[in-house]
Amino acid sequence: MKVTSMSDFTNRLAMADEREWLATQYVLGELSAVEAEMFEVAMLDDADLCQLVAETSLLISGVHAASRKVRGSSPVVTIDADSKRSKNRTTWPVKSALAAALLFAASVALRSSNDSSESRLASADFDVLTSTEMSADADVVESELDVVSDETDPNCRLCSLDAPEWLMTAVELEQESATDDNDDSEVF
Amino acid sequence: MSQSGGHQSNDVPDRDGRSCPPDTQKRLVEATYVGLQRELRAFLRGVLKDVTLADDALQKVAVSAIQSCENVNPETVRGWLFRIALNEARQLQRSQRRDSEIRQKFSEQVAETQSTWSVQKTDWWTSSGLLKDGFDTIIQKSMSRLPDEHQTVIRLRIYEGLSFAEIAERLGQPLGTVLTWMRRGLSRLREDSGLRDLWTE
Repeated sequence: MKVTSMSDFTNRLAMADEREWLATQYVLGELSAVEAEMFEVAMLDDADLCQLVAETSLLISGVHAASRKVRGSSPVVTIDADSKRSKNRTTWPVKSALAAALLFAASVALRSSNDSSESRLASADFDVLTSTEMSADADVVESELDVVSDETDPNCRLCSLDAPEWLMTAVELEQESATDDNDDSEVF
Repeated sequence: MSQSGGHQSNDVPDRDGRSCPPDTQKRLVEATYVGLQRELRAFLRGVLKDVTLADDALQKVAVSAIQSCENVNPETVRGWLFRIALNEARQLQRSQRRDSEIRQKFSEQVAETQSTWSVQKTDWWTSSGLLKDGFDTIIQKSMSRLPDEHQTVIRLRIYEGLSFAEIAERLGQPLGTVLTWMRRGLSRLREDSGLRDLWTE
């Protein structure tokens, strides 16, 4: 309720609940300069209103003390700002993970788009597995796999699976932003 | 007049340099002041919204009261003390405002001045010396009996210092609803019998 005149204000002060609310607003600094002035003028001739202000002040101090006791920490207003920072801090790994997942999905899609190369690769893998079964040596598996993906192999169909330029740029940008975020978090 | 309530010598000068006679009026003023000291301090903190200024004002109230004790009507001494307190508070506010304006004129760091003022304004409810022992526990119990939404609004406004608009935004409620919760919550706290006894003690 907006106060427009002194008589309006006086009328409000005549009502017990309005009186308490005005006292609360006055103590909390919610009244406008004009309203606060009218409230103080009213207090000059109203000791009970002064008493009400004192009670309100005690009540608010008590609520503050009780809340501090419950929380046992600094007000959330400052914590809120910190939580925003921590949000920024925690978003970059999520972003990076999402980007990596996207890249993986893109590479899988590229691979599946070339069915023939995929089938040949599968057969090559099968050959490798059979050879390892014969040798029973895990090191051999790795060396054989290396041979399959070797760029020098003219039969290697994976070698033609060059990542498109946009994909490489995206990866670079993502890495850069991850580094920047890391630097930012060190500042905090 | 000492704040502990003891009677001092009768040579305290008034505004005209005369001494108040050690009559019943003076004793009445002293007794009323001592009995009302906690309320006066709380009142001054509520008006000034600053702990240090309120304590300064309280000292001035004591001096002013003793200096003009001849003029007091015994029937209205309580209101008279509150009036003195309000006048002292307003004088302090005016001088603070003047100082602040002067500082602002001559200082290039206006922002710093403003932030200092706002810190003072939000610091006034520091309770040391104002609350009786266990008072916060009683309030805590009273608070716990309130509906959750009332408790939340009261804490956000008083303890965390958010404006009502910010609280409304945070809770996703209309401003009017938030104001109603605050109003009802505080009203119920006031009505709590435990707190009422503390006021009237």
